[in-house]
Amino acid sequence: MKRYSRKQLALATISLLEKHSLKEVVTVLSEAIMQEKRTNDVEIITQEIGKQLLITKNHLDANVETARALTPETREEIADLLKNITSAKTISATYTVNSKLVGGFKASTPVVEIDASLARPLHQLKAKAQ
Amino acid sequence: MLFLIAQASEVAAESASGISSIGIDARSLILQIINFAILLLVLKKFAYKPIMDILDARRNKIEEGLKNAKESEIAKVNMQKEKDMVIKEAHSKAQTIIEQSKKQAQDIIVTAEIKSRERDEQLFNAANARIAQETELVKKSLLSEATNFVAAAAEKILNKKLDTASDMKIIKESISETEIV
Repeated sequence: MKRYSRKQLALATISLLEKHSLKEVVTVLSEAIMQEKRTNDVEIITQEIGKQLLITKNHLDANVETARALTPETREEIADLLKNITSAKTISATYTVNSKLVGGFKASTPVVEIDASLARPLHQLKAKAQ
Repeated sequence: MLFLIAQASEVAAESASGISSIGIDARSLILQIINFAILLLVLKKFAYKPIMDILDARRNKIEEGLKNAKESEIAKVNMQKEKDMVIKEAHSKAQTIIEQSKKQAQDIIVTAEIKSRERDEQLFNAANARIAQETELVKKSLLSEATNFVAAAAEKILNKKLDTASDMKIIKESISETEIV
């Protein structure tokens, strides 16, 4: 059985998304991963899909964490920032609240990660003290 | 011997006319001379020679004794000299041994002192190093605890004091700073 690279799987997924529903594509991709016994690579494959989506479609998939719920205005500002950084034309961001961040925000994309949370300097301070 | 006596009688008879004129019987004289000679020979053979031999032997013995005594004296003197020399040599050796022993003892003392000083120095340095190490550990531990305390305190204070408006302001500032970068 031929083993596909992560990039090949990512490009195939994007290609399938143009013709099929997300549910169908996810099902096919899951089967392929199970058959190839690459369940440990799921996260990396997902990242690769996001990366290839950005390269081929200029679409950015991002996760944004904040300590408190964002106002629509701030959400938009963060989305614009991420688009500017990655040169993406469209963005689909997931916003979650994580009180451990104390303040600020943390954004994760397939190509870049921004940690502008207040927890980061505190963690750095603690790590430096060890 | 008999021949000599006859000859002497003849000589005495010939010269009797001369000697008898002064009242000496020549024949009797000759006989006395002959007797004396015989006595002399007998004495010489049987008395004088053994006596002389005894005397010679005694003299030789005495001379030998004297010689032995002299040799003994010389041997004694030599022995005394040798004894003195041995004693002197023994003294000298003893002195040398004493000097060497003193020097060795001194060397041992000096070496022991040096070793002791070195060991003291090593112990001192080790103790200093250990104190420094422990001080450093305590400092690090204190710093770590203080920093952790500061971080925890800062986290608590921020969680308590930071409201949504301030958080949004921080996010906006972060966005502008990131854009600049």
